[in-house]
Amino acid sequence: MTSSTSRALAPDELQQFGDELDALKKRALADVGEADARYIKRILKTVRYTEFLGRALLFVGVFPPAWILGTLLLGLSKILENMELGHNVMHGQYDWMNEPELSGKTYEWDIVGTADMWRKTHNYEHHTYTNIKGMDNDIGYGLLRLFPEQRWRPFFLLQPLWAALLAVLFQWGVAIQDLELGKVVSGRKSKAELKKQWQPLAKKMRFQLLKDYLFFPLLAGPFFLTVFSGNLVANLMRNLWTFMIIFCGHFTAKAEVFPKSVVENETQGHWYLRQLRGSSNLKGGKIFHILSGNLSHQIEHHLFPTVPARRYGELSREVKTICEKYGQHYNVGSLSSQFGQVLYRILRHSLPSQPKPFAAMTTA
Amino acid sequence: MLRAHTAKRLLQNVISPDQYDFWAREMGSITAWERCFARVVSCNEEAEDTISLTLRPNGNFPGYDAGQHMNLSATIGGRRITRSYSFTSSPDQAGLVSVTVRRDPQGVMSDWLCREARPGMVLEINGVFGDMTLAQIQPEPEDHMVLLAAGSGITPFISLIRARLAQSPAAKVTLLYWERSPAYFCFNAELDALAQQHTNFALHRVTTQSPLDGKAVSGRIGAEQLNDLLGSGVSEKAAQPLIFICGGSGFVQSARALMADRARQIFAEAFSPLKAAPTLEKAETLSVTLLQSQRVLQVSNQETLLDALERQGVAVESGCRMGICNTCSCATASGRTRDITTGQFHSGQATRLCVSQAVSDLQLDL
Repeated sequence: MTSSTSRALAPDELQQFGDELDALKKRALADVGEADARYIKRILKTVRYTEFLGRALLFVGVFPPAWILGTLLLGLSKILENMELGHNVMHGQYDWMNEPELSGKTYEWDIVGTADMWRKTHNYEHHTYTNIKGMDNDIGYGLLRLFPEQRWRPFFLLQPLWAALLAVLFQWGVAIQDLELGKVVSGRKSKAELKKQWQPLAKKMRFQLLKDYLFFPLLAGPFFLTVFSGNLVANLMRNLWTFMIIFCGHFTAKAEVFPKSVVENETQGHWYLRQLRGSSNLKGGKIFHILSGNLSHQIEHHLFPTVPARRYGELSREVKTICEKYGQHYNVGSLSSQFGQVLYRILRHSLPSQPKPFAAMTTA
Repeated sequence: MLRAHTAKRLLQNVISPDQYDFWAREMGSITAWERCFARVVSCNEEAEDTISLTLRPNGNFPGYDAGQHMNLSATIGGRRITRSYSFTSSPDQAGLVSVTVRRDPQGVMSDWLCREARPGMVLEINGVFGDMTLAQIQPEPEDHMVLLAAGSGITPFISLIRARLAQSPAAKVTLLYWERSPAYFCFNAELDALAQQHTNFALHRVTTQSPLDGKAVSGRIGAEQLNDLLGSGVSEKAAQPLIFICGGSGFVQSARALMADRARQIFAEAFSPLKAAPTLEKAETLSVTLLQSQRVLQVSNQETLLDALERQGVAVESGCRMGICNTCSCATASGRTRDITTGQFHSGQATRLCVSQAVSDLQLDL
């Protein structure tokens, strides 16, 4: 499929490559402890306080600076909760703490999609079958054509518009991803199956909608609309930010997609290699990394999804060295450059395009 | 009550239980939605290497009976550790509960509590357990209760004896209590007072290492020693006493064997610290209890738990089968596992079944 700037590895090289990454993971996990616990509790505290302050300021939002600051704080809280807290906690990164509120299996996040659905589509499908066409639904979310390997249809001509809509409504896109409405329309999935999935989702959506657009506005009494609008904009901020960060993770120019055949008898080393080739990183400062949930270190996150994300920055230096040693491209760039490449893909592949033949990642 | 319930229902529309608990704690309260937090009210030195903690649990505390124990959790080094401790207080005492903790230098929790516990500190209570209660056993007033305690094995007995003598003041009760040296004996004042008040309560303290009150050391539990303390006559089964045994697993094993002929019925609880980390070179068959489905299975320690469970027809939700996606992760109520990808041993935390093998018998929340 996509041509690669990385070289194919011989089987024994692939084995060593995998072993080195395994050793790195082992070392990182052995060091996990009190500092990680302190960190995630501090993040949790920041999420709670920024939400409280944001909502409190919105209650006096008739005063414009309070509305602006309140909205920003609430948006920030939602971003931090979804990315650095919820997403990472749901990967089980903090399960070792045995803290019920930070348990990967039971955590529920501040977004319309259910955590249970996310654990399936993201933790399992996306992380296991990363960038495999036909297995990883995150490739274009069933709505966009980002790689020439995806079959072109006239529908994609308007995809800049679809992409903009997806960005604005990103939490809704993620929420309904697993419903696979396309399959229901074409009859490949039964209505009964859809209904079963829909019930918990509808409950979660109702909770989120009532909370942000009815109960908190009602609590503000005469200032119903200032609270309502603040909540709306805060959710929009979060949607745009998460869309941008997540699209930069797998759809940059050099990110590769793979045919289904790669998973046949896939070794641990090959799996690592595929994670590396399908992911891309973002450069930035400490705050930027935290606000991206450390998904700016997408490569490290995909190699080590169960390692606490605060360690990815440190691990990236060693991962980069290993990549150099084995002649693998380490895909990293600034946000503007990487997101520019994503936008180019959205535009370019709205029109028909031809895939290059898939070059195997191994020589044997 | 109804009003509190309605308030909770309304509140649930805007905040989650975790948020409620968080803000309660930030405001200095241990009130919680469902969880049972408890504040340490006092810590007293009970004996050598032993402290008694008095806790005030929040409104979610379910209550307990004398002889029961609770799971107590504390966050130590970022990790929430849970261990069982017997209630040493009386259930009649409103709003407060006590536990007595003997320091085990290898025990993470007991060592930490003995060093760090301070009034004001918040711990969590995770359930109350135990069948060794008067309500369960229902002894008749004329039944003789003989209790054999070694070390911290005394902890469930102090409340059991207190409850028995309060319920049936003339009931015959005998306590045999072993410690390594005199400084380790707990609850001296209360036990002595009970013995003085109730002539039907016989109290025998025994030391195993250094002498007590000038008497010779009588050593670990043995047949001759028991003859001295309890008399050598063996009466017919129906007239024999109810025997209660509590202590380390070695003590419980010996005491059970030695008392078998003297007992109408034996009730025993063994407190044993976890053994040192084993290696998995030796193939072993271990038992896995599935708590939700109430099944007990035998598994080999040579395969992953996911494989083992699936082979025996247990439908386990799973995904990547390589320890990445966390789908098969399941709470482990007791026992040790080993992560085959890291070689690390874990106990009492969520286990990713696809990359874990059993190291000891397990209880899984499945």
